[in-house]
Amino acid sequence: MRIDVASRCGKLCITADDGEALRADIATQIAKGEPVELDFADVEVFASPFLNAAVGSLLRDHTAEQLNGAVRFVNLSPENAQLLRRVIANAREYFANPKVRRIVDGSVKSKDEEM
Amino acid sequence: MDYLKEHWLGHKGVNVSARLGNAIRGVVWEIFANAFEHSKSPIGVFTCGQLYPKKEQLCLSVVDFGEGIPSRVSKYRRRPWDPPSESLRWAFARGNTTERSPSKSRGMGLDLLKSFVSVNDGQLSIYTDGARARIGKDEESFEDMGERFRGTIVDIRLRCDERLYVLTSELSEEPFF
Repeated sequence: MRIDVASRCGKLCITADDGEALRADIATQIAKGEPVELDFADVEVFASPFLNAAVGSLLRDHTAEQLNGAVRFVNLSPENAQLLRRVIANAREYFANPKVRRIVDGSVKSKDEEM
Repeated sequence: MDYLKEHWLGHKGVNVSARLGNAIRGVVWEIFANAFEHSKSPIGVFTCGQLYPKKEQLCLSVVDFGEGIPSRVSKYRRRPWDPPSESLRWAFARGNTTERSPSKSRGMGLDLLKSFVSVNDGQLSIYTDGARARIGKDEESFEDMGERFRGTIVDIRLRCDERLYVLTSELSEEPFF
């Protein structure tokens, strides 16, 4: 499935709320087993709050291998591709942190027990 | 953001491509996002800018009257004995943040500012609480100041040079994740 990011979130991709909305769309497709193509044509501005929420946070619930197979980025300028890589690298380190993993695993386990 | 595009970067004296202009707007947003999210300023955030067409230089200052970065960091780290300069240095390291969340990674803003300014051959100065940071292409210093300022002043000076906003050495063909 192709997601036109500018149509979904606007030309200014800068807020965490917009990023979270995009993340939810991506996660839904991944859960269905459908690959996702994120098209960044017409996006004018990126900022880390948006990218952290939209893309970095995918690493909370998915492995890098899964995401490399499921998510594709198109029409990214070199500087925005560079920014995206830095955000993802930061997210990898963040979610690998034992303290953060304990919190995440605890909240996921609680939800399983509720079900 | 529209004001930056139309009235600041769009000023007739500024010769900036759309790509560079968008990169600058993204960097400026990092400053505002930090100020609104972290400062807890009781009276909001203030900003002013100046354009120097002949120098091809853009200057922007963003000020808040919150608790200041060192104070916030030292409380978060539970290290009240740390000099303000050390707390400010900690805040600049990628991934460091006083707002931990199990749902998403954070702590990119100051690091991204530092990188952009370095590539752009610009200058970033931050005065906060009792500390000062100066970041440039060949400079990175963190100092303790004799007097304390309750709040944070971010002053950024950028060059409107098309060559100076992406490190080509960092371009990669590797998978993103």
